Amino acid sequence: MSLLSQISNWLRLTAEGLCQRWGIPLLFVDLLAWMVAVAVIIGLVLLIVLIFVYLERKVSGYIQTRLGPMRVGPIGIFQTAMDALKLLIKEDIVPRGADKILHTLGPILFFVAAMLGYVVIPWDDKAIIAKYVDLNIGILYVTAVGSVGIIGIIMGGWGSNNKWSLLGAIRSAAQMISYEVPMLLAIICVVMQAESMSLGRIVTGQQGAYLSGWYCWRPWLWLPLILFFIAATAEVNRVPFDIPEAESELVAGYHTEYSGMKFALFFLAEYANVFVVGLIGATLFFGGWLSPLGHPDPLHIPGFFWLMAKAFAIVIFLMWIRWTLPRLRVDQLMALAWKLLLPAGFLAIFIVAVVLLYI
Amino acid sequence: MSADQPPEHDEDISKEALPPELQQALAGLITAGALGPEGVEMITTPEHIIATLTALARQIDQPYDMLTDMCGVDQGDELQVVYRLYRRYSAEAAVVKVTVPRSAPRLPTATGLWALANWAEREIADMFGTTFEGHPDPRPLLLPDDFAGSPLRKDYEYPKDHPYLCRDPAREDLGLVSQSASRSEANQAG
Amino acid sequence: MTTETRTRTEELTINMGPQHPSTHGVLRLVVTLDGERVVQVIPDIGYLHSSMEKIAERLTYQQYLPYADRYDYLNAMGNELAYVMAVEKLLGIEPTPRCQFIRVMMAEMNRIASHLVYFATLGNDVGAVSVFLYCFREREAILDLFEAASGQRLLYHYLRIGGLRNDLPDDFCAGLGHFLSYFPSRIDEYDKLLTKNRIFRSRMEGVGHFSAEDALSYGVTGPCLRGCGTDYDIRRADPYCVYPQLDFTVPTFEECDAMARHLVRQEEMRQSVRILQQCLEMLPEGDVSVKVPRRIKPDPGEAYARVESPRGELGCYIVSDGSEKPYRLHWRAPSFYNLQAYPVMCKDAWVADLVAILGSVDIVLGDVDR
Repeated sequence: MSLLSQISNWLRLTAEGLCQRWGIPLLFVDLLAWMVAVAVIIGLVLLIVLIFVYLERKVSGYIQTRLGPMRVGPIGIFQTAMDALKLLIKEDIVPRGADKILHTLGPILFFVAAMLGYVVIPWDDKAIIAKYVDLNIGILYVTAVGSVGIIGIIMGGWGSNNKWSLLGAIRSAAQMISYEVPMLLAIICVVMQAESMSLGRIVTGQQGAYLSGWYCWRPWLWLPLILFFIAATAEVNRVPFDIPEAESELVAGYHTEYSGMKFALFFLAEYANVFVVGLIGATLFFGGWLSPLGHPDPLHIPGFFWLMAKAFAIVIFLMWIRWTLPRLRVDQLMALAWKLLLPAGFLAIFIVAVVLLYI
Repeated sequence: MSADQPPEHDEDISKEALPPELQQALAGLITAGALGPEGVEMITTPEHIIATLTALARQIDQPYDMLTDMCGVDQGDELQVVYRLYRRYSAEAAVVKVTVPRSAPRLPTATGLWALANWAEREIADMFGTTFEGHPDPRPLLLPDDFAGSPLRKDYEYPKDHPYLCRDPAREDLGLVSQSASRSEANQAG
Repeated sequence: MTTETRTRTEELTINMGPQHPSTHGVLRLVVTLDGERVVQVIPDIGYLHSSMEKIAERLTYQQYLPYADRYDYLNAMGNELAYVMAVEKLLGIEPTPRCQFIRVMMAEMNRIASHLVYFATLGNDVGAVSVFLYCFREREAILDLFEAASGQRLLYHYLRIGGLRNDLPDDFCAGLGHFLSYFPSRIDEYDKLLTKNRIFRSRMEGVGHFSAEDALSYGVTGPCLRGCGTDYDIRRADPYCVYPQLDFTVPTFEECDAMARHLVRQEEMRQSVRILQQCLEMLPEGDVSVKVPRRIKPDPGEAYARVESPRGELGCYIVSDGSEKPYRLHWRAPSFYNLQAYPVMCKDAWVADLVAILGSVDIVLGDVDR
């Protein structure tokens, strides 16, 4: 990481020198730096998503007694890359009567919202992507930009001029709003424990001998842990909460009328969102980038690797659930959120508060 | 299975073959009746069909209260509708046949007795051009709404050109198709 | 001061199908929705109508046999059985005992295969995708056996008027025995994976209620009827082939809902296994075919044969005018009449229930439209 920062410092100095020579305002360098950062995030996220999609197809294959993709590249590793390429060069079809502006804006907004979540993830002790960006309200920011995505979904569902899309979008909005509440309640418990909303502080708060400091070992945080994963699974529309795109009911839900690039944006953003759940889950409960081998890591394995390993473990768990369980019905989904998870969330806060105050 | 041949529905069927209970219930309603391999068979007229079915389904001790199927048959000058009734969940059948003139095929509906008759009658209306009077929903069922003709009548002629027909240029002349069909028949006969 | 801010709501009419992932073919449902609640469902059928009955009038009795396969494509052996039984009734032919046993075996194997497809598609409809592939794994084993016997995997053309195309191959019984040895444990697996799943049960229990009186009026038969607690199975009520010699129970459930229909099918697979095991033990030696004239010309008359298909009472009605071709052939299609009752089951359903109920009725569109 120090090598990387040296390179970036050198690049920055060079750029500043060039600016002075050509009389360009220094602001331009800042802008450029930001754009590079953005490009890095998007590139990284897309790479992760490609790996993730491939992994999902492989894991589902093994769960379903088949092989999954095998043809493109050795054991099919280039399959998702080729699929993404295919989607990008496919014809973009806008249905007749659709609201063209909303139809186009929907996937873009959804994609951007999904990308924004990655900005504050603490990848490593030194490489919180924006070193400016260990936001002191990091976790609040993640949930906030996560909700922006709903607007994209509604835009897409409404703008498609298709009743199935509209139904899917309405379901999605109802579901995301409902499940945000228990998810936030669960997060509040962690925030109370860490006494900070900064994701970096939440990770450092979990330091201890080997993996003993992780929040997942504290019994009073078990209920929030379960709540968080149930609610987060619903937030990202995965089985058993995938009713917004329940393919056997709503054809494909809000992205029924999408093809080509726009569908790819929805698709990639959805997987990006799922991976955010993995990353946030790892950060909140499983020590983030902290190494389970001790601090600092005796083998000098970068924290980035540990965070990724934990996040992938979590998403593989989500895959396992996805390929095993049936789907809830919309009324059962709402009942679960408001009648079970919400009271449980308040109970969890109460328990954590009592424990922190008196024990 | 081999022993009991189905009876030929010809002149020698008489009502006397039926059990007395049925004869009594169906007095004046049916024109002929017989004992078949699976149960009773009877022939009635369009005016009496609903009364016959009601009598079979409601007015005898062990009623034939389960309609399982309805089927149309083109009998040349007349169209026949076959109602297949069973004693509730048993093997004892009552087959009721009714004929209507080909020129004015009108029948009262049996939907008041069994909900099953709804689609069954719509299908027969599609295929034979019969009208079931009093049917709650007399739209075409299996055929498109604008389909002309009654395909299961023997005199139905295949349309030479129709938007639903997939036109194969090689077999454009439908006469060619029927020629080859008759040739294969000739081969089999020879 | 009062302000009226009442939201204006409208019912939404929506086309489910003919192109829709879970209508099991080309079925169109015109659904009227109030939010997520179903107000009215009108099935619109006929998209797969293929003139099966008209075709019969142009073909000889033997030539029509392959068409019988194609009409309910998941129950090809059962269709063939109904058809050859009707023709044999017309001709007054009695098939050999070995043939009768093999016919029953084929029909029961096809019942298992068809119920496996039901399990698979139902799982898919309620969102449990993996069940689909597990069921197809077992179905594949049955199809291999069919292929060994008939050379075909879906449309067998194996039964012939008066017998069978050929006797069973040598290793068939061993292969079937092996399949029967492990298949019950696989049913337990589906039971754990799908039937006992809490989400699945909450999706199926109390959904699609359908009373026994309605079933009588609508002529609903098969597992849908036995899910209303009515013990009616053609194999029992009007036995054919060698079913009287076999020991099996007809499972019924009283709940009248989608779950009851599901449980009936699951139990029927176990009973089919029992029947097949008995058939393997009792299978007599001997010829499989009796002599039948090359040109089949039954006397004028009519015959109706019915069998218990995986979907209900499957009847074949043939009117002969003494020529080589059937004068009229009519199929009593179980899916056709079961589907007619579908709107009754969908009273007060949610959108998501529509597909679960349709799955629990288990229609085959080839059977509906013919």
